[in-house]
This record gives sequence, structure tokens and C-alpha cells, in this order.
Amino acid sequence: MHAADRLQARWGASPPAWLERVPAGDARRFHALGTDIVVDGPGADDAAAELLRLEAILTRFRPSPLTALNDHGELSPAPPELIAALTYALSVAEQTDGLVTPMVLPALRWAGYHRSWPAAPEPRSGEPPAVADWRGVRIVGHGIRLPAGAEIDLGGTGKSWIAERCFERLAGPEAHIDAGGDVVSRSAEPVAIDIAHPVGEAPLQLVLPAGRWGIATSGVTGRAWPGGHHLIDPRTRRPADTRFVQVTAVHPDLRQAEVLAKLALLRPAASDAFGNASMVVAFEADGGRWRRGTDGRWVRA
Amino acid sequence: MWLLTVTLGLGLGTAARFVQRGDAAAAANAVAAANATTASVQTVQATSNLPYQPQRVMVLPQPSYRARATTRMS
Repeated sequence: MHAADRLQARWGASPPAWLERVPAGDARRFHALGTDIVVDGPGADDAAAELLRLEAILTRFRPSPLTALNDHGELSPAPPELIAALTYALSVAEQTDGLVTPMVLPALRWAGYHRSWPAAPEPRSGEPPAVADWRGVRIVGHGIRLPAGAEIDLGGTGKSWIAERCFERLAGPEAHIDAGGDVVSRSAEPVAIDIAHPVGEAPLQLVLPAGRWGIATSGVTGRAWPGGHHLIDPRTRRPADTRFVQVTAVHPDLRQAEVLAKLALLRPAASDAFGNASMVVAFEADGGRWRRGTDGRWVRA
Repeated sequence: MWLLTVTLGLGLGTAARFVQRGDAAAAANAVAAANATTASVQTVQATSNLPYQPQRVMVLPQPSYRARATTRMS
């Protein structure tokens, strides 16, 4: 039984009632990237427009340059934004020895995640399809070619890449993007960010010094269904069976925070990969709260 | 035990006053000073390619003041 299923068995399947807090001011709120987005700060309209433009290029849930690439196995010329996002995703795959890879889409569909959430999952029977080697992707000039049978899903890596890119459109000392819980924040004052409990108990609270921070949360009980969830372990080609059910990572760069959160789910013992440039908080299925210490070990939080 | 309780009470009371003033950093420091076991503090080091200095990031066991956002699975 997966950790997510154990959690559901204990707490029930009903989603927690999140305590929503949104920033004051002239924030722009809209739905994109399969989630609710908040963009706040000078230049919010420009940043929001950029986010929607990038989503239209990188989405797998409606016709886009990415779906054209997946349908045909190659695309030339490809939009520079697709090349840049894919290049970044491949660099993450290299950084994580292939654990966080954009190549899991066939396995993700096999597990049941076909359409934009919260569409009903449609798991398939039989063995999951292969996860193509990310090193087989070829980017030459303005063209992209995928290995045979491969399809790309940029997933959380793409979402954090988009959020960071849009954040650059925000000016001023106070700026903020919340991409469905993946947060980029810049502030001249200390900032508090709540960490929602995976099953709706009281949240923890992060206290971040003045500055620029990325905060990413990933888990296996969101976008989950009986017997499966959206986080594929490329080693098994199936939904990951994880020690933690939710991980939050803090790093000056949201893209790195997102990678660290995923890595903590998929390989929590790989402490060396975290370095000292981050803080990581994790929940186990029984509600246990952990923090990665400066010595690389997990300690109770 | 009473000493621990008093210490906690003083610390959290101090934190509450800071919260009322909107001084987040002081509130967090007061909580941490009151009881190091209730707050996890970690220094996040600067990275080589980003202009950030080592910073103290703190995790409080419950919200102590108004949050700018809630991070969660999505």
C-alpha cells in the first residue's frame, strides 16, 4: 500500500479545508497551470500575461508546441521558450541522476493522469511503459527531437521555471507570486509563509528573513486517487512509494526549491544533494514532522 | 516544570506583543528564545552564484502572525 493510501485510510479521502490567506493590495488572481495563481507587485499585469503566454507554449493539456512535439517526436523550429524550458528540465534530470525527469509522461498516463486536474483518473492495466532516457533528447539549433516513444511533461519543474521567469517582470521591493503553493517572494521585511498540513491539521509557519525566497511544496496526497498519484518514480515507472507524503523546500531560487522537494520525496536519504542552501520540512503519513538538519540528517521539526 | 511553563509564557507573551506591532522578526526571535524546541531554526547558506548572505530560516509549530501565503500541494 502506498503512503498516500495509508494516509487516506487513516484520515479519509475528503480534502482538507485550507485556511486561505492572500496578500493585500492589487494582486492579480487567476487560474492557470492547473491551479490558482496569485501575482502581486508592480508589474503584476505584465507578469500575469507572461505566465499565460508561457503556459500556452508549455502545456500538455491542450494543443500547444509541447503537444506538437509529443505527437510527432520532433519539432522544428521550436519556440525558444520551449527549448529553454526543456533545456532546464534536462539539466535537472542530470543534476538528480534522472530522478526528476521530464520523460515520465507515458508512465503518468498509465497511472491515470490524462487530463488537466481534477479530471477523473483513468488508470490502465498491465505493465507501465518505459521511461525514456533523458539523455536521448536532441536539441540542435531551433529544433528538438525526442527518443522513440518518448513524450515530455514539464510538470512541477516547468511550473517553477515559469514562475521564476514571470517573477522577473515584477518590480519594487515587495513582490510575490504564488503558483498554487509554489511561492516566490521578495520583501524588505521578514515574511511568514504557512505550510499547509497534508491532512488539514494546523499549519506550520515559515519565517523568512528579508530578501528573495522560493518556497516549493510537493506531495503524494494531492492530485492523488485510489491506488495512484501524480509523482512517478522513474526507477519503478509507477507512482512513487515514499517515506514522506509532503515536502516543503526553501531556497533563494524557486526552481531549486522545487527540485529539492521532489528529490526529498523520491530519495530522502540523498542528503548530499541538498547542500546548505536550503531548508526542507517534511511530513510523514502518520503526521510526523521532519526537518533536514545542517548535517544532512533528518530531525524532528 | 513550572519554570519551563513560566519561561514559555514569558517568551510567547513577548512574541504576542511583537506580533501586535507587526514585527515578525522580533516575534519569531522571541518564540525561539522562549523555547528552542518549539521552533526549528536553520541557517541557509548563500550559494555561489546568487548574491545572498547566510540567513536564518525558522519553522514555527503554529502560525504566529499573518502569513503572506500558504504553500501546499497543488
